Amino acid sequence: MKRNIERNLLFTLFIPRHKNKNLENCELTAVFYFLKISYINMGLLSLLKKLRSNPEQELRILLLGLDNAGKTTLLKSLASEDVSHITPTQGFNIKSVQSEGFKLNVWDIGGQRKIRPYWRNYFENTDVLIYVIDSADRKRFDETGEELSELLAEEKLIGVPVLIFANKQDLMNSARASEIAEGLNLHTIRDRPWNIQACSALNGEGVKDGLNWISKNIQRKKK
Amino acid sequence: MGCLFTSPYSPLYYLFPQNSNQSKEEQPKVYSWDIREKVDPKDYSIENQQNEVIIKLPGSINGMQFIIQNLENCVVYLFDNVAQVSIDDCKNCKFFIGPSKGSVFIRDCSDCCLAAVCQQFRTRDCRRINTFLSCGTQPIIESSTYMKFACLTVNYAQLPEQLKNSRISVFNNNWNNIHDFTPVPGEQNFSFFNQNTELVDYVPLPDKFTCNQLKLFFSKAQTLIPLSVGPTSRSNNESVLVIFFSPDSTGNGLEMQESQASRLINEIRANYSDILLIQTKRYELSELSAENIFKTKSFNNFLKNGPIIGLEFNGYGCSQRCQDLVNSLSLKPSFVSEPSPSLSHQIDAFYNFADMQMSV
Repeated sequence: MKRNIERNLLFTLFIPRHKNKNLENCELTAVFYFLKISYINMGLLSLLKKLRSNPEQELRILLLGLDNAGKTTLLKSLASEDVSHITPTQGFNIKSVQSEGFKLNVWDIGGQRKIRPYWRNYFENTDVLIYVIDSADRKRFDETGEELSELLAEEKLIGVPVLIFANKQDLMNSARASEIAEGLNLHTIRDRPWNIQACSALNGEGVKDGLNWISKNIQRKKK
Repeated sequence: MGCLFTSPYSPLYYLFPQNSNQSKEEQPKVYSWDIREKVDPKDYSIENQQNEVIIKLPGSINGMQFIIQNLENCVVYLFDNVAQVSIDDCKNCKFFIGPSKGSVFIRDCSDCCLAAVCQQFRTRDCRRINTFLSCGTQPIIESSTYMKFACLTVNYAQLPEQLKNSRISVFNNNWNNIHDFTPVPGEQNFSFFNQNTELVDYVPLPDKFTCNQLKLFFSKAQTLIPLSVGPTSRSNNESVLVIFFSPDSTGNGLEMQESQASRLINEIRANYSDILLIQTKRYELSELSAENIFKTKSFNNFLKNGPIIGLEFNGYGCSQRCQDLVNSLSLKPSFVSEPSPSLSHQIDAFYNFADMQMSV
């Protein structure tokens, strides 16, 4: 798909100007080479974004998951803040983060069993649901799976893209993202875009890849 | 025109071969956990045992995650750095948990005693757990009853280094600031031990050989973690706030700041048994907050050197005695509050800024 866009862009932009066929080939090569370089450097999305004239898009992102999954660490990691002194969340935290030309308003809601019924107060107008799992807490895989399927059945979250972070991959006992995807039957999700991304919110690995998936998906939704 | 890329007769075909480009995109990204050495989870877990004493010495865990589950009548000591610890389905057990960079999470346990140094402490579905804590954030309990808390008192040879590795400061201890997610009207799910409680009566020291090897102490006299009694034990109207700043931003400066704070605590403890250490905090103070507490800008220069250490003492004549000790031992740079009508506001502000600093 990317390749097609690239090609169309190229031809719509440059071809009509050239009449001489020999010249065309040679110049095209040069021009395309330039584009190719910029494509590698900036990524196609940023390239498209540069061509797009509409102002920055705001997204409301809901960050949910069991207690001790690492939601607040992820939130702070998204905002490039120090993650070494994080306190258990009693209510919620919110941060605005810039990413790929989007302004992400991220809501991080406490995950204790007692306060999960309050999650629904935050469902309205959610653009993306991020669900965080402690991949090393095997005892509670069933519990986290149940909470996730309840979320996916929520009327107010119908069609909302869901990104699942298989967090704490840095820990010795962590299950791989593929293992978790299988255990939670993620392949049965058909009513929305979904993705599972392995990450360690503590050292930041994988977090950016998750964000990239979000911006790609929102892009696709808009078109 | 598409044939420009797909036809072998076109120069573009060779410059940008489609296949290589595609394979680059499809190749999954390699993360550190894909290439790390495999470890045997058995080396980092203790499970399904009865009537055992298990000791993990410094260097045997090295900051890895640790799992404890399904034990009965066991005593477990982890004298090493851990990433996070989960303790599940244990009965009648005693635990010592060394500095945990993340959480210590205890679930479905009953009748246990626990001593832990950690960044976070969480419980769920527990009954009758006696906990001795040094905790960098507010401990939380959920669906847990008959929980009792006290300040941890411990020292061993490797503890200072392990604390540094875990980025835990013994001066930031929130053991007495419990948050209960499931309060029951008219009842209290948690309470505090009285000041005479000794850790050894709940978690025994290990064998003599191990104690000697580690230079291990659980006593109040030897503790590296300042023994505080919590705000509920303010017995006297007179409190004093003593704040230590780091003289510079180097490691030496921070070390000097800590040793000065320890020195004052020890002197007070040794000479004035009626003066109690209420709470200790260590956090980064902003200039604006500092002016609010000190009512002057003269300390602002020290703030950029690192976090401040704040101690609250309570007892008759504590202001004067702290002031005298700070002068005679020349513990500098520091601030000692003076008795004044605005003192309680000053102390409240000090704790409020600490709580604000801890939240996101």
